[in-house]
Amino acid sequence: MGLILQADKISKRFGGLLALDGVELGIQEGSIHSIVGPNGSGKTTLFNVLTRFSEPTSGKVSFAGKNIAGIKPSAVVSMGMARTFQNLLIFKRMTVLENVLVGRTPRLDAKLINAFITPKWVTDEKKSNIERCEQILDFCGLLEHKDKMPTNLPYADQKRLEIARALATEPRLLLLDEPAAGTPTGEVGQLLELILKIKKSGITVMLIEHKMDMVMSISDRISVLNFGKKIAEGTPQEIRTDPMVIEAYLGRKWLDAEN
Amino acid sequence: MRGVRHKSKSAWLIAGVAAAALLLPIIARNEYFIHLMVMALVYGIVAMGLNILTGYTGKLSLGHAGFFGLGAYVSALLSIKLGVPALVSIVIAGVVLFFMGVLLGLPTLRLEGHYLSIVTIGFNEVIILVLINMRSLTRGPGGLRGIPPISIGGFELVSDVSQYYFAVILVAILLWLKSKLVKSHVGLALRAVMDGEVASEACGVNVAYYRVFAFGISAMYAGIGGGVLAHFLNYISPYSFQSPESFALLGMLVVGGIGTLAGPIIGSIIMTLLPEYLRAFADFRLIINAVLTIVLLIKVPGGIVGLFKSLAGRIGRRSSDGLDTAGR
Repeated sequence: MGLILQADKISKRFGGLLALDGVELGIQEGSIHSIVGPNGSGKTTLFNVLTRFSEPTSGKVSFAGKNIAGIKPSAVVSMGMARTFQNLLIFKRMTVLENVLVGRTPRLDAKLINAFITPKWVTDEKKSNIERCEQILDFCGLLEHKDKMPTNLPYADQKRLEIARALATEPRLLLLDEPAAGTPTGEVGQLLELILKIKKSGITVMLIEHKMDMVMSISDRISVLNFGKKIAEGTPQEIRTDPMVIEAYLGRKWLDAEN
Repeated sequence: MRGVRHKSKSAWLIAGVAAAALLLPIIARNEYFIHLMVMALVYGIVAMGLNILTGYTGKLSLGHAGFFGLGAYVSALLSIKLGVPALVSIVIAGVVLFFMGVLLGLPTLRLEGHYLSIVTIGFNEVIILVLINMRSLTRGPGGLRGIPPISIGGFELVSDVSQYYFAVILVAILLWLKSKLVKSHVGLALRAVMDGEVASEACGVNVAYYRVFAFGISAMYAGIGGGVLAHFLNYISPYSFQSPESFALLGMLVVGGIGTLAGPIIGSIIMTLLPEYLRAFADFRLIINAVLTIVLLIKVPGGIVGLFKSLAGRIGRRSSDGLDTAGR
């Protein structure tokens, strides 16, 4: 399988700060590719640039062989790249099911006018759409909460709801920004299983995560950022033993532990 | 089971309201009261439009009287200058105003909150200035006279009662279309835009597209309301569509229940009838009106509809609580 996403010398400058400095990245289709690095190393900025929420200062991003310069984030979603956010952006005034239904928007055949003119195929599509969303909620273990308001759910479930909503857009590539943040240690295993299930269903996953044991156990490949530069890339085993990475991120004690 | 019961309950409610609306002119044999109801329903159409933009998309417009006035002038001028039948010219006014709404929606895409509202106030003032100063077309501050009434199969809607029935039917149709919109995938996307624009984009919702569409539909309702007003009163003047009217429309929305289906109509009826029945208080009626609005805003932010919903919820909860304890 080839590369689904390619980033070519991406730089992003915020005034005097170079948040991303010539980052090169290739994401293998069907893999779990993690981005790690200390706070402020540019991980989320990288996600924002890849999903077009942020305009790169220079460089090129290609998704499924197409240059995605100059298009809207919603168009990127239609092309098959979905994401979640570090600071949780769910629709607070909608039920859990409605949240997921919004994610179906780019996959609907119904046009604006079908809000008023509703032949049978429109109502049929609406019905099958709801069923599809319930399946997705079931997949994410949230079906029992479908009629609740998301703000009444524990934080970890809200994070999973955001994943469910992203899955509803039928992505080929899913970018997860710290999905385990706020998840109690005991429930990280469930989340891990969910991400592996997503991979198994054929979706490529990019992951930003601080819980290193989780990253090491599920990633096929890991890229390490530091001060906006990619300092290393490789399998978890290679990253674990890379002296540059240990220096920048993991700290001396990992090296000592290895020895 | 519960859904079925709920559905039949709301069907009863709709039937009851429809019966009351149709019987009203027979019960209340008061021409002036019926005329007030006609005005309330026309304003209700505009408030419904405002509700689509403000209640369901979260964009506060303080310029809807501008759309209202434009609709009135477009329909009136089509009838007077080109002899277009009133029913057709009202529909054309709706279509023209859809594009006017799009025209205001496009340049204001980057504006949020107060900044957007200020631009809409400015838009309203610009419309009024144009209507006053384009004398060759609009006859300026004197207004347009001799606008033909709506005629259906040779029957002219001149009497208050006939206008009332026309308005009731039109409101019912527009309310039905609005409820279709709100329950559709488009309504869901609009609510998503209101809830969070970044999250909406991440769901593949093209925020700009839906925002501009909401502006268009909202202005279309205002345009239809304006067209109906022109052919009902047979006379319009630019001064009927100034900024205070925009604020009054927002007041109707707040009192009736913002973001609800029936709220704008209930609000417009209350806000149209109330000042009339406060006439005895002379100049104090404006103060009473304002105080009532403020009290409503603070005490029942959901408006009249919100109040009824919470009352119904409380009664429902109490009765089920009673059942629970009885069961124990």
